[in-house]
Amino acid sequence: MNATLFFAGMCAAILLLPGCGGGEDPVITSYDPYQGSEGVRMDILDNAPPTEVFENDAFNIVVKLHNKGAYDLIPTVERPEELAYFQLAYDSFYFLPLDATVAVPLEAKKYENQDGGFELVEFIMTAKAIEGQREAPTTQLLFTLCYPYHTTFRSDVCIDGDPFGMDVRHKTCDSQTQTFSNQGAPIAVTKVEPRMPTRRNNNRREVAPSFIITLKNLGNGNVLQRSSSPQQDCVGMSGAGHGTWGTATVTARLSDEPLSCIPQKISFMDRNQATTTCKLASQDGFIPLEVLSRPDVLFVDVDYLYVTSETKEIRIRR
Amino acid sequence: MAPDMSRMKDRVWSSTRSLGNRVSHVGRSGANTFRGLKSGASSIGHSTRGAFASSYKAFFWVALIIHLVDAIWMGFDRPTGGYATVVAMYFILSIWAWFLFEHHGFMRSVGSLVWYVLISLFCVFAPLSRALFPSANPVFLGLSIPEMLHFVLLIIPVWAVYVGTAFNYGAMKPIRFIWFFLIVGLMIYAIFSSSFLVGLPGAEESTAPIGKVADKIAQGLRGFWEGLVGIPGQVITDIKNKTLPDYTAQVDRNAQGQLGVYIENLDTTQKTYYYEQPVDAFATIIARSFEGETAVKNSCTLEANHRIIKGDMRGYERFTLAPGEMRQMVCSFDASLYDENHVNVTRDTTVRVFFQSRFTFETWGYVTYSFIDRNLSLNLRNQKKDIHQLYGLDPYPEAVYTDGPIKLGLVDPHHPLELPYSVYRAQPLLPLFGIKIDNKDRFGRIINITELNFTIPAPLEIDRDRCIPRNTITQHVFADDAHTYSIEKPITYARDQTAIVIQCPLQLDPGDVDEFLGSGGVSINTFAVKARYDYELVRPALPITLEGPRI
Repeated sequence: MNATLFFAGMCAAILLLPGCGGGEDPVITSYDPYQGSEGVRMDILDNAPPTEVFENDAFNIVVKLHNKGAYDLIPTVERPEELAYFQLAYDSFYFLPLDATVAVPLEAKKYENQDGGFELVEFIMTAKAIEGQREAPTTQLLFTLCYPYHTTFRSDVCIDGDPFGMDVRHKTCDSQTQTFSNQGAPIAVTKVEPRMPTRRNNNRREVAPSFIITLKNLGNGNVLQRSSSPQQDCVGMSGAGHGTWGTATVTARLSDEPLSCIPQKISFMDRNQATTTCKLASQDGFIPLEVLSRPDVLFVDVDYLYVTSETKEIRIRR
Repeated sequence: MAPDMSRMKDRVWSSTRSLGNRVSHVGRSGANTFRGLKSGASSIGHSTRGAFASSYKAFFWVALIIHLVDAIWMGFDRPTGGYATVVAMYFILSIWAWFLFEHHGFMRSVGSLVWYVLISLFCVFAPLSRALFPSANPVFLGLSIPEMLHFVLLIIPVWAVYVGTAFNYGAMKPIRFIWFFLIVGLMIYAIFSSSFLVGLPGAEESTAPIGKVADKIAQGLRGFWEGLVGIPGQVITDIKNKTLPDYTAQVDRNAQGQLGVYIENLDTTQKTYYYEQPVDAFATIIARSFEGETAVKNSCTLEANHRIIKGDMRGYERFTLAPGEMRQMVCSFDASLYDENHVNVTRDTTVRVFFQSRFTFETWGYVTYSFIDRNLSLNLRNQKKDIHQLYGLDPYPEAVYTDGPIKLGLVDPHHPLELPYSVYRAQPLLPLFGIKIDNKDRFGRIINITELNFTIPAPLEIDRDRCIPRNTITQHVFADDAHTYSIEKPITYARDQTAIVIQCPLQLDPGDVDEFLGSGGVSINTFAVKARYDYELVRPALPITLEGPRI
């Protein structure tokens, strides 16, 4: 019996001992893609194009388009033109005609792909024969990238029924100005200033929360207002009137309550910075507050097209 | 055919009488002839005041201004240039004269109208007389008949002289005084600016001491006279060239040597030639072109004692030079050079041999403009972004022209276009596209431009109907994504002309702006101009001495 028990104990020990030692505890990591101030990055590969080409010669142009932001440039049913539009502009006096517009999908950075999606765009370009007596003219290639993008901002805010601290009772939270650096997009909400006007209605405390939101263009590109067709906006730019350059559309909500932002179309004309004031859209903006203060969540969404450009000089030799 | 001047005099007389002025004498001969006008007018010796005198003075000044515009601005250019303008101006003068001088008896003075029209026709057609004589042969002090005619035409403003001599009033005296000083001033200007005489054939001196002094005096007098009579060419050329719109560019520097045709290493076999010893001179000619072979037609001359003696090129008259090829040319003058039918060497004489080459060459000019959507530009400027740095664009257009004997200017240096040029999508207003083709070589000249092409990148175009001068750019071809505009007939340069300017407005259909600017809102476009021309290059060798007979 003892031997049987001993044998059974040994077997159990053989089976159980490996589970007791040496194994790493699984670490549950979190990843926040809403960081960084880049959208889609455009990198022209070294020597593609080369700095010097010969007349009548073909050469490669390779550009890496890399989505370093948090917004997916992948067409959906609702947004079928959600792509990055790349265009190469060149002086037709020196190069043969080329269909130099390409649209590419680019996945945003996310937990599974923390570096973001990228694509290589390649063109084969041919230099024309140099007309006339010139020996080695130089010309410029202009690379333009235009893409629809979206900034998603979320932050805890405080709906404060006693903003001046007159009530001695303990408050859950205090409303105060908050600053932010970026949200994984070239346009970022950089400051939120709450305004909490209060009133008493039938002996009930009411508050009309509003927020002065400051946004900034952190990239080196330009903002263009987005319409229903980003392709048309980016490739044709026919609709780009005076009000569209430097303009983005802002929508905001406080949890599920939509906010009305004035102006809704913000302009980055002044030092790359824009400001809008958002308050509750319902009735006169006042909501009843049962407690002295309570936390809430502010959501801000910014829709726009973003345009970046780069140039490269090329010498053409005979 | 002459106007009824008695009525005119009556009118002046009555006007002055009404003002209470003293009338010393009024010719009432009633001669209905120009002679009558002259004699009658010269006899009017009183001060003129009042409306009529003012009208005559106004007429005088307008006539003078029209003359100066015709002479200095247009260079009596017939029948090209502003020919229609000239005809219109003189026609208006005729009608004005008819109204001014003949307002009595309107219908009875048809004859005088014909007379006034004849004066204007003379003004219009007299400059054509220059074309009746050869311009290359100097007949008096190195001047050809056309040059002398030009001078005479310049200093005699026919209408102004007619009015001035017809009305010998006191008021005309200051006008004549001013006119005198104007002429003297123009002459002085011509003398002091006659540096063009230096280095030209005939400006040499003899080597004998006494002959030197005599030649110095003669040369001084000749220079003075040539300065005087050189007014037309010199003043007009200076003024015309200075008043032409200016366009410049930089020479395109090439690594493989400069383009063009050059005569170099000019020399003679000796510095002094004994009497009746043949003269041999040589030079090297080089052509550098990317456009293939260059055909040259050569000659040589020797000038002394106001005679031009043509040398024997000994088979080097015509040949073709491959790109970069260099050839030697030899020119000989035999013993007959010294005889009285040629230089007539009676004493030591310093002369110079000239080599001339005529060839056809091409010069290209290029200018790159950048354009930007106006709203994008506004947006960037409001954001205080440096557009030039952002897009790597030049702030001003940089034009270059390929080397050669001419300058091809494409950028107005006084008002350069600021780049990138803002284009308003709804109504694209574009700049003027202008070129200036200017002679670069002091001793050479452009004979004519046989081919002139403007390559304008599509969808930009030029408005041919609004080019200045009009009807210059008439041909158009569209190929390879570009519009090519060209001239139909060669443009001939006058002998004293150094430059031409052509300006054409650029245009862009509003429907093509999107295509033009592209999705980035910025476009870079190169405009090219090709000028093919006949050119004459002249190079003098070092001076040599021809000794006179020793016995």
